[in-house]
Amino acid sequence: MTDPFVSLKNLDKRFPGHHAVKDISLDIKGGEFIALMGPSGCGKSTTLRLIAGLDEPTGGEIYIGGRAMSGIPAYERDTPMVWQSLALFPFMTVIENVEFPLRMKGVTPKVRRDRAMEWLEKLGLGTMANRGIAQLSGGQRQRVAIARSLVTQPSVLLLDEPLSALDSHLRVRMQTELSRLHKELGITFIYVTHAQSEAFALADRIVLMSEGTIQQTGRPQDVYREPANAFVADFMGMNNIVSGSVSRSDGEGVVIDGKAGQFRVASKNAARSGDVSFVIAADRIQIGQANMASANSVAGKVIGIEFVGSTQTIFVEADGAEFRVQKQQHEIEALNIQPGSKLTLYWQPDHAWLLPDTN
Amino acid sequence: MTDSIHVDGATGSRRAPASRVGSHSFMPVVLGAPVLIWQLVFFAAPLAFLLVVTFWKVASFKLEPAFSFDNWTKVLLSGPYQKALVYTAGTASLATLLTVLVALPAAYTIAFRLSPKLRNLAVTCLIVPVFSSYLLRIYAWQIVLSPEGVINSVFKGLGGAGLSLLGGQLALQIGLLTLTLPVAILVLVLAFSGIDRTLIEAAENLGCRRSKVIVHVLLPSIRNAIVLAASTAFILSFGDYVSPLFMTGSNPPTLSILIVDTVKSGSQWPRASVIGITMLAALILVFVAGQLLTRTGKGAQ
Repeated sequence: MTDPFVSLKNLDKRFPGHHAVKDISLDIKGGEFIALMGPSGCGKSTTLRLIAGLDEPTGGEIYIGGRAMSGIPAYERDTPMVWQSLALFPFMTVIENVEFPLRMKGVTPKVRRDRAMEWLEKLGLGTMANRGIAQLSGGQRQRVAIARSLVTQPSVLLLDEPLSALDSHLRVRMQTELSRLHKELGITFIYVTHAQSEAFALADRIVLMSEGTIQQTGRPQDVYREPANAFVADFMGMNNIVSGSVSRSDGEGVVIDGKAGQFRVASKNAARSGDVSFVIAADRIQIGQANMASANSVAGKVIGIEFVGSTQTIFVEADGAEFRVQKQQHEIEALNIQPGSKLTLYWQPDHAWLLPDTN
Repeated sequence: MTDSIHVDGATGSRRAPASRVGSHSFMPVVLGAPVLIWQLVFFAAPLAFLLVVTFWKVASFKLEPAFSFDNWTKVLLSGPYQKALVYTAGTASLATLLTVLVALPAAYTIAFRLSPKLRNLAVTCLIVPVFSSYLLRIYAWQIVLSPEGVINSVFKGLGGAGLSLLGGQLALQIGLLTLTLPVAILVLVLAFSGIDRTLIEAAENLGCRRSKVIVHVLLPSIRNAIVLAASTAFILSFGDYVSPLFMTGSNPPTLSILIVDTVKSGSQWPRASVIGITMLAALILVFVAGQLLTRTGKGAQ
């Protein structure tokens, strides 16, 4: 599909005393899995609610399948949502929950029972049809909520932090399931989350929001490796942001004078001058002996080591700046790094990323 | 609810170390004893006595212990009793129906349509009458409804004929609703307020029109509270003595009026006790029916 299926044009939402969504525009292709991501209060959930028609925008327009949505109430939009709290009806059985949207559409009892049953079986809940919601586990409830939103065969599915109530083990399993469903159905998924891991694992494209505006849109790896600004670089987590001023630039990149030394950044947007910032990811920094001579290096002292899991994060102080370095545990052991160790950090010029935005 | 209590009691004490088992089983007894004793002395014992008395005899205005079913057959087969039973049950049923019909929209408005400030004010206005004297409120209604009362003076002032408002089902129902409505509305307001608002949004999101959300989500959500409000209304109006006495002048008599009459005429305590026991049985029946209604609710907690 070339035309965008869901399109937000200058969408704006003000609440009394709070400007939640500030003039955002976004085109979502049919069949795309898109993740709206950002810290809490960034406007991602509000955007989703605006698409569903649960809140009225104060400006702009939403198009779904080419149709303008303003003035169309929530119950007439075909935009089912999977809620963070799941919002299953506790006074209905599992199958009655799944039948509910069909019942609202006036589907006959026989047909809707069959279709609901079909979906329950598809999600492995065939034997649970007549149970009460209270008798289900967290993962099973999650599946009921998904079945209930998909039973009407919508062309868009909205998901508002659907997995945040699950434990990490279940969350990974449900991620796989959602991914599979998305491929099978080929419909548009709009997924709101604050968890980077979920967004990266699931989405074709990420929309990173902050304070009501879109900071960056792109494929997960692009947003991760080539952040558009310091906010994105910071939100991605394991990034070091180094500031300095451009001392010279040539066809291969720029040379930047920073507090901790002189750095070369191979950059496509090299024609820059003045104050700039570049990003070097924590996993792209190499560790060498103290006093090792190298380009793009800083000498520093280890001030802390944090055990994350398979990797460890080393905090290094160098000329008043703090660097984070991510390494496998065996590498750290091989180098015999302890808090207080002196070492040199270095990296390749093409692993650094010059932030396009100077702010 | 009962499940979790059961689990606590069973596995909790079983798993406790041996040295603590004593205190574990001892504490509930100590804490529960006063309530238990209170119930035994002031509820169970008089009730048992009431039941025993139904088999006694009255001779020259004095109670005499005996064992005879005479009182039961005399009361149950008597015309006035049967009439009063039908009348009381009918009146209480009507009061229950009216209570629910008035309380539901009122509670909905308070819970969903009022600003938080007005909501608090409304709830306060509902709580105050519960703690004020019912008798006083009925007297007030008498003044309003009596032939020379407020409504009639206004009506006559406008040139109409006097209405006989007091002494019929209308007055009786007004009196009973005075008793039942505040309680019923409070119960329903609390239930409505407890509904998760995302359920309402989820229903709309799934294609449920705003006007139908009430039927599809709100009413099923508070089903148990409706049963509670209805059975409370029935129990209150079935046993009420004040409204029948002052609003209809005991005519026709309800069962509670009949009890007083039976005692007054010839000190027939045993027969009054029979009526009392049958009323109690009727209320237990209503209560059990209510419980069954709530328990068959789908997806019960």
